[in-house]
Amino acid sequence: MSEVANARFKPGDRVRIGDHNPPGHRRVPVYARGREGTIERICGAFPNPEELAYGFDGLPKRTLYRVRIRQADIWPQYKGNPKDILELEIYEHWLEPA
Amino acid sequence: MSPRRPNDVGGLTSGPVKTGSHELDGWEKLITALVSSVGPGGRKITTIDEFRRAREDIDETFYNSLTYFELWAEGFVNLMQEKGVLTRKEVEARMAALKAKQ
Repeated sequence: MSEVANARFKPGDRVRIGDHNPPGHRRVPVYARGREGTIERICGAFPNPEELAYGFDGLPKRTLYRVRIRQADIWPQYKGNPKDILELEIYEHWLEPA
Repeated sequence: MSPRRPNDVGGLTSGPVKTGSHELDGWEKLITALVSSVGPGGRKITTIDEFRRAREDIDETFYNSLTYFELWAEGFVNLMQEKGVLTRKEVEARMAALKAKQ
């Protein structure tokens, strides 16, 4: 599934998750908005769940990425191992180059 | 307005989490079957994403007062009303009739 035509990002790219709050059913958790991470892989292209949630077909498909973020970059008071990470799957329209 | 939906609790403080298994009530199995019957594997009236949205649209205070399958039942009724399949009034009338028989 990792072969996606016109993918904007590739594994290793630094990205920032959008820090916006559009109305509607959005799946990006609030704690992750505005955080920076690295593209770990391209997961594939899928109908947009934000459109499917309201009964639309979700097309064209959107590219989905697995984004790796340092826990310490998410939680200001993080006391665990500084190497600890979190991986989230985020659609391309929520990502911008960092 | 906070963008945080009632399900989006990452980073918030919480009480202890109950782990371990528990028995499902009959109605919990029934609501699972009902949800499936209108979904992608059934009559295709709803998508999984719509059902998720219907649950996460529930007012936060009410959301937090419900158990997992109660959330399913509330979301299911709301979505069926939205789709014109049945109304909350019909569901409540039927519940009242069943209760009266007991």
